[in-house]
Amino acid sequence: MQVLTFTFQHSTFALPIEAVSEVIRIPEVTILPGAPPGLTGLINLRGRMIPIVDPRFYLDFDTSRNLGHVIVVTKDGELMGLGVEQVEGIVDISVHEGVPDMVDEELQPLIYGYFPSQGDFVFTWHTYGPFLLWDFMSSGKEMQS
Amino acid sequence: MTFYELSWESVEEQELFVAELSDLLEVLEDIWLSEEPDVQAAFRAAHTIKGSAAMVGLEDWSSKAHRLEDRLDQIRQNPESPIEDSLREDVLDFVDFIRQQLSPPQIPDKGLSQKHWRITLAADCTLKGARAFQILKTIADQAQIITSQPSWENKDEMERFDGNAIDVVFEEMPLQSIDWSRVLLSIPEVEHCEEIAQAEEEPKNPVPGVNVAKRREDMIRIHPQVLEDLLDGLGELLMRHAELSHRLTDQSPAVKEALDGVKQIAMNLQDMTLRARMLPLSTLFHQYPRAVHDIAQKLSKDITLSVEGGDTQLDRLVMDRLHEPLLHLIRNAADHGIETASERLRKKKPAAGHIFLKASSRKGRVEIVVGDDGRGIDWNSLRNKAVAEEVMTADQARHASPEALASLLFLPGFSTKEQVTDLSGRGVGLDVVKDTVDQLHGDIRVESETGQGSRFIMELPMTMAILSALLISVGPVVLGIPVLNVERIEPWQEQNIKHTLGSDMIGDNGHPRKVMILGELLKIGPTDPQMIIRVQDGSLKMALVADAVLGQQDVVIKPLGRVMPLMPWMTGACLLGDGRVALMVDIKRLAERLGHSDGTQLPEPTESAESNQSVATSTWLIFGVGSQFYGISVEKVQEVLVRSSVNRIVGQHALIEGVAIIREDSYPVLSGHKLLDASDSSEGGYFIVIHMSQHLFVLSVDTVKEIVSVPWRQIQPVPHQDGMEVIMGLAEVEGAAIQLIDLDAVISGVLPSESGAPEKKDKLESLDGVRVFLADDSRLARQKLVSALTASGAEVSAFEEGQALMAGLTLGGHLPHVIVTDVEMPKMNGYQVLEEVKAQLPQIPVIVHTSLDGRLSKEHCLELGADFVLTKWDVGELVRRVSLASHQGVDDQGGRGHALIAD
Repeated sequence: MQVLTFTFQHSTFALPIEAVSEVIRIPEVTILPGAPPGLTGLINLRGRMIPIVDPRFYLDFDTSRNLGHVIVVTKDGELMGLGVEQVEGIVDISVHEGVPDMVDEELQPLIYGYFPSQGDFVFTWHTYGPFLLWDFMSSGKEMQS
Repeated sequence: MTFYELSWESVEEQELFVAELSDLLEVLEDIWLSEEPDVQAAFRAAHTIKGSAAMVGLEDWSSKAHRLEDRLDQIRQNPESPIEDSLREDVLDFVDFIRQQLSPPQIPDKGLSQKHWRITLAADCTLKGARAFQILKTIADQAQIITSQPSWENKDEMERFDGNAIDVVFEEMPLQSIDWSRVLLSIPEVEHCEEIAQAEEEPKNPVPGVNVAKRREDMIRIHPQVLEDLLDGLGELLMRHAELSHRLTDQSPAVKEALDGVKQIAMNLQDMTLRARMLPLSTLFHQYPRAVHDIAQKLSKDITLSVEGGDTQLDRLVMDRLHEPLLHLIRNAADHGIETASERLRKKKPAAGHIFLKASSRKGRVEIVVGDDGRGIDWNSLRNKAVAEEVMTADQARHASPEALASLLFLPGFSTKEQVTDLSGRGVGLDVVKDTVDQLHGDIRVESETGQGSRFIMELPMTMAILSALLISVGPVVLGIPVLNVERIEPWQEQNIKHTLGSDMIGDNGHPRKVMILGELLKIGPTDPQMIIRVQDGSLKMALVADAVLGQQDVVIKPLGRVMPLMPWMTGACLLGDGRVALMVDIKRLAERLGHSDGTQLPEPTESAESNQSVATSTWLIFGVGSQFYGISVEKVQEVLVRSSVNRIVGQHALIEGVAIIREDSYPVLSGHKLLDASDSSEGGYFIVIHMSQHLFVLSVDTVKEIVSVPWRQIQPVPHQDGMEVIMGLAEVEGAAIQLIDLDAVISGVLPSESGAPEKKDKLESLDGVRVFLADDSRLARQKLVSALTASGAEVSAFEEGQALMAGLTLGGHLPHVIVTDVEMPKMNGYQVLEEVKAQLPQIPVIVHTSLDGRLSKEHCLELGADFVLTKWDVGELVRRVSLASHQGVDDQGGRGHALIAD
């Protein structure tokens, strides 16, 4: 399958290409005061305002590093941006389906499978993966209140 | 009666009926052709058809629809039961029946479809014969030519043809509908074509149906999403336009004109698109007479419905969501409100109950009232219920206002009628009504008098898409507040805020009002609080503290889908002209975020305080000098003393009497007589001790009268005359004209600045206490100028364009000493600002700061009364000019000598 790979720090992840609508360099982001952590803000994408999610809050990565790109994903006509540090490229590769059980239980629904690359594993998200982050955010919000 | 025998009030009514019906038939058809029919939707469609058919008098349609509705209702009630195929057939048969009835009666007479067209060729057409052949051939390809001039049959006649007009009578094929005018005009050198009415056309009164069928083709229906996309596109076009205007720094008049043209067109299109979504409320209301009739019958009550304001326009998107809530309110009124006939007669009311539906619009809001003359709300039973449901303690309930009690009705699961009837129990609850209204950014309240009836009043925005917003900034964030909610804007002054009982508050005509520092509340940092925006939403009143007010703008609000549940205090976001995003604030929800609910509010101020609280007022100490009375702002007055002795100082300023010793401190004494040019030279009887801008001094006056409160808007500007610079305006108090003194203007000239350095240059460039209003549409320019002026000690209020600046001038608070304005700005440009300021407040110097160089614009500014015209960018020079201008008034009058007074 064709996947788009992207990185946080030294970890590489992949998203099935059909989930991706476009990739842009991170533009100016309008912050949303009071938003749950992970909801970085809004960007203006050709007149449409779309929210940007920073997955690092849920994947336990350093969130102080700069986000370099936004992967714009779409579901039922609704757009959303996945902030990533770096987009690497598109590879056509066979992905081993299934989630190893050492993956954190909460994060398991995010992962479709994995493939080996340069002595490392690249975990591939489900196409709906980016939208799962909303559930994380909503539940995080409930815990706060 | 059949459809074609009906008489209609207007063609529009008929068209709407047909259009709506066709939509509903499509819904029915779609549903029953799909695998899993949405019975609920089908039920609603059948129900609506029933109602509207009955309304226009199509009894058999209505009864057919009614039977269908009943069957669908049964299935709706029992979702488990399988849907029989026979039902599917029946639904489709029903659709076919109505369709067939709607289609125009067959016209058997073929002669009727004969058409007579006259085609005119262009005068300079050379081969007319060949062209005529081409035209007739085109027609002959699609229709049967009966006769023509020149003759289609006679090729010779055709070749010799040299006229300009071609007449042709032809017969269309059955079921054909060709846009002949388009076909004919597409042929080269055809200048004009028209259909000639046939003289022998038999029945002169045409069958109405033909008309309708034809007219219906003239209307197209558009999916609302298409309009939404159009709006998006236009919004972006406007944005790009703004960007382009910004980038094109060197704008020739022609370029500017072209750009303005583009903007105008885009805005017109935006307007038209928004208007395209508007429909008269009668399209919604027309179904209720029937509904009320049905309900009344079920309840065995006699109820009449009156409808008013059906021509009020409302956004289709809003209207679509109003049907259920309105129906619910009507059902409620019929079921719970209206009493039985016998009960009504006992109460000496007419036996027939009355429900009314009223719509009206005002200032972009639509008000819809559903009222009845029934039993009204029984406040006591509501109190009991509130206690029983544990939403209030017995004590709270006893003291709760009707308003607070009424709001309980909108709580989920709170219903007053013990027995939920079949009728009202079926629909949505009042809480759902409120939810819907909330989602539409509307408001609902209830008024009721026990025994007299109730009124549910909904207030809705006319359109969901566009809103007039006040844009404010808090740190890097731009927020939009609906202008409807804004009461007043004033500069933030720390000393006006009282921190007590765990809360920040500010005075509001003698009542405390909660102050919310948005930067802290929303955890935006770092911020620089400068402005207070007093807002209200219904009974909720707050004072929001922001960094700056950016201006007022009509914005197109876009909801943000899945972001919304996470950001409860927002109603959406909008793109500003410069590409920034503004977040739209819902005042009520913002208050909820604070836990500032209606329930914890302080008691409402009394009626009299309520009525004038939105008026910005100022408070003045009135004193007399000579035969005149004057006022000074109470904020500046420290105390009033009986006059004591004054010691003259050598070389003192002309307006200074000398120095007075008060409690072992020396104060310069400013002579009221000299300052105000009173002819009587006797010494005054009182000292007013004034503390302002780090100066303490005494104003000597004859009498001190009283303290009065004057609404800002009642303060009249004074005509500009020599010697009047110290008077900032006139106010009428108890029939006498009081001159209000601008102490800042006085002090800036008379007393040395705090730095104390008497050197001229320093004096000039220190702007301590000088208030500057600055208008520039460039954010960069604003930032640069504000920081330069502020660094010199000025208090600067910056505005995005002229209109905002002018609004700032009329808001109350202190008038600026100097206005600095750019020339090229949206909405109101610098020339207009200049004209307006010079007309209204001629005492305020205006400096035009422009990037337009060229003598013409400069001369134009000077002609309009500009005090100085400065070319961008010499910030140092600007500061110097502001300083010069701020001293101008005193300079003209009394020269530059400053009093040197030893402390």
